[in-house]
Amino acid sequence: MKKLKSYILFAILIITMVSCVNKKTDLLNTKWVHNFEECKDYFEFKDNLEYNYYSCESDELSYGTYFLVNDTINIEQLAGEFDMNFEANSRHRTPKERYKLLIDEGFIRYLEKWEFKNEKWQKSDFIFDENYTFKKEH
Amino acid sequence: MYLESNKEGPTASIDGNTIPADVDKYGTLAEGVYPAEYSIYKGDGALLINKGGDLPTVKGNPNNKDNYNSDGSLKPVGEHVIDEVFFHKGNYARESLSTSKGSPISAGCQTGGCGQGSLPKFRKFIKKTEGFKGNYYLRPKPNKKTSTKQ
Repeated sequence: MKKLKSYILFAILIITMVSCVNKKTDLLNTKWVHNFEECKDYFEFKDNLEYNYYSCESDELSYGTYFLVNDTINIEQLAGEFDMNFEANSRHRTPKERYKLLIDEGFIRYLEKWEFKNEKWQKSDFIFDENYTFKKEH
Repeated sequence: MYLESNKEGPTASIDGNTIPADVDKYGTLAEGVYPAEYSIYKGDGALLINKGGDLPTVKGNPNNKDNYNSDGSLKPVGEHVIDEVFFHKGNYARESLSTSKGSPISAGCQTGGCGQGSLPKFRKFIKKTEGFKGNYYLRPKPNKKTSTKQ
């Protein structure tokens, strides 16, 4: 009986690991798109744990790093394509922010936003529109 | 936009926004006439107001470290400034001054219109301001004409 329990636990562990690996593999070198009527926002997840995010609302590309925990993508926004045009402390530079996103039934959607203020990470009270989801393009 | 060379009327016109995404978090430029010149903002033409220097606000601006005392308290609202103010493009995809992930399209800047078709309209307008050096007049909404009965 004890042996059977161990086998079951081991099997669950293997299934969980395989599932996580598959999700990670699913994300590597993929592009996820949200369609607006005239333009598209997108995420590109690269194999070196870096991502690109394009906001067609602001017509701007931002970059950062990401890691995956089960179904949750944790991203840290680090810079933007136009940052070099502004002074180091300019409010027009891309702010350091963290986001949690969920991979859910073939879509990615935002869960949480964190802002770096006064040298501390603070959870934002911003509420994401539930329709702001990204579908895998390739 | 009025050019001295054009005596017929405005050379170009566009609808836009004069308030930021959140009037409590960011400063709103006070009404007035300010120097402005053509510039570039995030890949598109824009107008830079007062060469990016300090400008007065309507009701303060907690988003500028110059508006705080050394003890961390806010200075009186009348002393608050806003800087790096552009007239730049708005939100191309939605009629909102924030993006869908909560980033401000305007954190104190003046913007062109937002929503569908706004970016081509803005680009058409701003093209006509290339080389512009003049004044940006932010005026109050004109009062509706009232008829006086005698």
